[in-house]
Amino acid sequence: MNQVPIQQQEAICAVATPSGVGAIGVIRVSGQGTFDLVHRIFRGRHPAQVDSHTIHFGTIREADGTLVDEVLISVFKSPRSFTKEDVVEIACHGSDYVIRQILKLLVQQGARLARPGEFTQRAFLNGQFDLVQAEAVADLIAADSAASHRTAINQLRGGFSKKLAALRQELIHFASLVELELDFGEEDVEFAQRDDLRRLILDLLRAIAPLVESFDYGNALKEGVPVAIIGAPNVGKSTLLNALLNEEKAIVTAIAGTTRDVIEDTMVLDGLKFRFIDTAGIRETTDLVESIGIERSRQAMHKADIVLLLFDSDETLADVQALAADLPADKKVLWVRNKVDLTARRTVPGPSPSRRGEKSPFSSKEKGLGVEVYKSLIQKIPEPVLENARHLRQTATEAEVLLWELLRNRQLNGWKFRRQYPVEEGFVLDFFCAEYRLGIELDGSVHEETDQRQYDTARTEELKRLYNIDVIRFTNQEVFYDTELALAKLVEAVEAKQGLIQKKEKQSPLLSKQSPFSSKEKGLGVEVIPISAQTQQGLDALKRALTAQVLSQSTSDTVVTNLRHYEQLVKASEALQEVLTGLDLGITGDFLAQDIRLALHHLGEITGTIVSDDLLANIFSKFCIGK
Amino acid sequence: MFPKYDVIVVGAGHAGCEAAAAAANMGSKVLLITMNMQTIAQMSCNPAMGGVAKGQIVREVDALGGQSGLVSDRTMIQFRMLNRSKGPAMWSPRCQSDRMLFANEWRAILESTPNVDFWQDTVREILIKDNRVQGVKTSLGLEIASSAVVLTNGTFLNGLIHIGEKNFGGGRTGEKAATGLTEQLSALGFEAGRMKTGTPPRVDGRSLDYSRMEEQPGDEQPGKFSYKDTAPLLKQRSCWITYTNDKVHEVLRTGFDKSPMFSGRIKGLGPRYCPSVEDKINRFADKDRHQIFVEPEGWNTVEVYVNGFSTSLPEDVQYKALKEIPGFENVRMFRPGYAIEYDFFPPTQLKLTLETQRVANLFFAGQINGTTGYEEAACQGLMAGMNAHQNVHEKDAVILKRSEAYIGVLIDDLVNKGTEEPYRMFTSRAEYRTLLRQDNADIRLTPKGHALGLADAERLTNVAKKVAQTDELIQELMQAKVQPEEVNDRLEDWTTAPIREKTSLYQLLKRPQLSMEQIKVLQPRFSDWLGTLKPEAIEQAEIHVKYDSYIEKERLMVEKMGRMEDLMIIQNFNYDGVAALSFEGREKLKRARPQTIGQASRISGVSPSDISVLMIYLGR
Repeated sequence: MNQVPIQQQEAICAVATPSGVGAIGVIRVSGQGTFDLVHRIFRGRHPAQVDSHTIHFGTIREADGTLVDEVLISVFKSPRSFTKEDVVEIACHGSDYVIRQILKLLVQQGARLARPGEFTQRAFLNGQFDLVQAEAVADLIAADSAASHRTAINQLRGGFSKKLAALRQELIHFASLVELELDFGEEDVEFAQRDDLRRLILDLLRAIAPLVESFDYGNALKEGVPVAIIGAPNVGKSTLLNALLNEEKAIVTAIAGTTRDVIEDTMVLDGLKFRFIDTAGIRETTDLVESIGIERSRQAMHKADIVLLLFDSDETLADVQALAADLPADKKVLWVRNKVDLTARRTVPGPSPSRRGEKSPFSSKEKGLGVEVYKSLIQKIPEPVLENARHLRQTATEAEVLLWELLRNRQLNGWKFRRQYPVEEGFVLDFFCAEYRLGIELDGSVHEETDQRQYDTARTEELKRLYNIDVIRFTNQEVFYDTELALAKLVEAVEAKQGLIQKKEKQSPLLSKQSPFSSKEKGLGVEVIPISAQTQQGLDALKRALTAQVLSQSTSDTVVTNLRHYEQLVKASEALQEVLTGLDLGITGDFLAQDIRLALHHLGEITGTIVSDDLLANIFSKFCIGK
Repeated sequence: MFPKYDVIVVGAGHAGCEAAAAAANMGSKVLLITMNMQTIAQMSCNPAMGGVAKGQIVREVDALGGQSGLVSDRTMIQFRMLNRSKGPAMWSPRCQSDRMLFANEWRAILESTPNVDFWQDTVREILIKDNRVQGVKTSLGLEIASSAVVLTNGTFLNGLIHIGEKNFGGGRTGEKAATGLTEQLSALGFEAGRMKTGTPPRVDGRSLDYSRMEEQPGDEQPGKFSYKDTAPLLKQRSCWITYTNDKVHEVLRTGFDKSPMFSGRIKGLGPRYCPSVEDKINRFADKDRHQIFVEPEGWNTVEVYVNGFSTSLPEDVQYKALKEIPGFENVRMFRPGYAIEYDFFPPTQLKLTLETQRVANLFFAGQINGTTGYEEAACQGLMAGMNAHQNVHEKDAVILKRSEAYIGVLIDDLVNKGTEEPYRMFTSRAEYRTLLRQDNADIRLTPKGHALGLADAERLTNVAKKVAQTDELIQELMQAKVQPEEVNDRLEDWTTAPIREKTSLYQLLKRPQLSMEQIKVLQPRFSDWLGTLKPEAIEQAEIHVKYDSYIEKERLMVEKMGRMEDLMIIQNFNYDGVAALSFEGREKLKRARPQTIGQASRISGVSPSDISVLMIYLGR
């Protein structure tokens, strides 16, 4: 090959340092538009406006300004770089988590993840190496890609690959229909209705969205779910941490963490990894000076996915409440009262052991003037029930799908709803708002039968009795044709429960002083987990609560943990959005097909590529074509 | 008796004719050998050229300086632009041809081409020395010397015709098969296979009742194939549409036990997209009717082609079934339909020039490569003829890219992927089809054809004029702006949103509801000027304004992939010497011997990491 003039190709990025070991990680970005791309996530000097071979300090931030890391960037201008293209190297802290976040931001800004050896390949194509070096690199690429291939296969087991395969089939079918219309328009075949196509695309987008969303969650699983234990001095943070960790001695590790010199402890529960933040702070023997302690706690809470608010008295409760007031709404919070062996039992008549049962500790909740006890929702749900819920999620009726579209992601007044929510007794609520203990059931024709109605009534009563869950029922008809009305009823129901809560708070102002389980602990919807870190009482419940928090976070059965898969899924949904836009504009099938092919291409990067032959084969097998 | 030829073309069908004409027009001394001088350029199946994706190919052949477009224009009896309701890349010209005129016109063109000699004979053997072509040996025992040979044997190699339980050797009905060549080539190490195709019965048009069918007339303003100034049609003949029904299917089923397809007598694989009628009712039993196109065979003949009724059932079953079709109650059959099996050579044994990898200067084109269709054959003939000439004169190979032409897609598919069934072009095979439109084949290919000495100067001037006018018009549309008060009433009449500020005609033309016709109304002074421009330039500008974003998207894709297409692989590259290649990738690469990295990347089994490895090895 002749010397090719240096031609900048699309921007690619990848981590250039080994994973998980160094104190510093280096991310390399190379190609056309690298400087602008980095500039969009880097607060500091614009790389295009500085000299080549210079280093600059700044911060990497998410779109909303959240700090990801403080970094140094090195700027190399074409042709004076490794690849001879424009290159920026970002030196960040060596945590996998931080590196992934930065890569994710780069991808969001339009960079593509580099394939194994791609930097080297570019370097080589631009005339950077001699043949001997090149051969060594070739061997490296082959080895690298074999390894990453293995990883990819490992990640593709089970649900993820199944789900994607199903998506791919649907999309191939869709693409075939469009191609059929284009290549065989003259013949006597039936063509896809645009409305059907739109529905199919919406289905696909709906299926991909939770996969994309699950990426953060999947990432967290890989890195460990960050947990912060927050509480006033002497409430027993350190004892609790040790109690939790001691239980799991065999799998407790101390690793070099995300920040310069912080040691983080991790533990594994039910196969989920938890990472305790700022344990150094917790372990310090002397009490923190107030101001430092609060600042430190705030930082830890900010980094955590789950915040464990620990208190042992009304005073210490007030402390954590003050801290909790600033927490964003989507932060998972567990309220934990420690030292119940010393305090709680004395002031509140707890549930009797016989009612409590061995494995289902009750959390207590104040209701009216007395303390009534409801079962905690954080239970070990029997596997068949979970399985059933999962099944129901996958085979959602159209009415359920429609309502879920309206409720998901706190769309309705910011209330958090879950769907197909299982309770221990085997019921699965179609939708559930934990905060206000409100369930929604959708009735199809099945529920119109007498037997079924009686069962439904009994079930509603039991849910109320055991869990204080109110159930509101809609028919599929109502959801479809009177959607607005149904939503209005729903709002009314939630507000009624809210009113109840507020009223009760007013009714019992004194109780908060007397009872450790006072309403001040955050209204009716919040459970407090009573424990004694010292005697280990309640620790099992706490652990179950931790895992429950993580599992509820996953909106999909399938979790995307691979950044490359994430990238492809994002691009696939972008292409599908384009198809949707095209359908809205009424453009012709050939242009729709362009975007469909793009979507297929991106899914193909994960599931194996699809070629035009596959589409033709599908057409020929399904349609009678040809004169 | 014979001089030494530069190129001998064996076979005078669509591929052979284009090959002979191309090589001769470029300056080679050509001998065209055919078994029968009376059947040059026979349309052995339906009397039509073009269609979806195929029409684009005919225009490409024409743009390069081939003859098929000219012949089609001069001999058509009906023209339709298919897929008009879809995007411009889907518009596909198709014509109904006068079968006899078509063949006559081709023969006249060849006879008037200097440098083309004819010889009626059957080639039995290719003369080869040191893996290089020396000439051919015929059934008369003649040895004719040449530097290159193009084989375009169609369905004649060991052709076997089936009608019901009868079968007999033949290349077409009433014509002998050719034997000997397959055996010789196989002995040389070529891999050969067997394919099958079929054709429907022909009937007497006077015996049909057209009042029971739907009329399918030609376009009101018929277009044409050639970019040259061939005359458009003034009058046209209609085709007719009718349908099979349960009774037809019932009768056909009575012949299934004698069907050579179902009994297993036919071994070759037929095309899935061109099934016989018995295949249709067998595989799609739930479909209660199938479309039949009744196509006239010419201006002055009563013979009619029953398109959609391809069959190899016994002739009496064919006849009885036909009679159950509405409009066919009193049908008189001229010739029965039949199936034919023939030899082909898997095209993975070729280079992208259509030269065989095994024997230098031996070229294959048309059905011998496993394709089907006149258009597919013609374009291969053209490319083989061009490359034979280039080889003989030691000039650069002519290879069209996938982003350049359907022809490029076709040959790249054949050579890299091979084919199991007769290969037909579809638009969906072309990943850059938005760029490969019938309206721009001249812009894409004529400069190339001209540089090779095939497309004449007039063609090049026409393209230059079209491009210049297109650019000028787009510039004008961008600069000409209208005020809301001038146009809003009209825009509302056309159910498109009014404008709020001064807007360019360019922006308005982008709207789906508006076309150049409306622009003329909005800006009357434009109308006069447009009258002075070539209609093709106006169409071109309109397409570019309206579909700019899609065209641009695809152009970027081409650019992205382009670099790989430009990276050549050394001819005798030693894949065994590269340990880093995967086992499967290495085997596939050794077999396919791709000429570029892009080509290598399309071979199934060659992984992206194999490509990375290759690129590094080839980097110097």
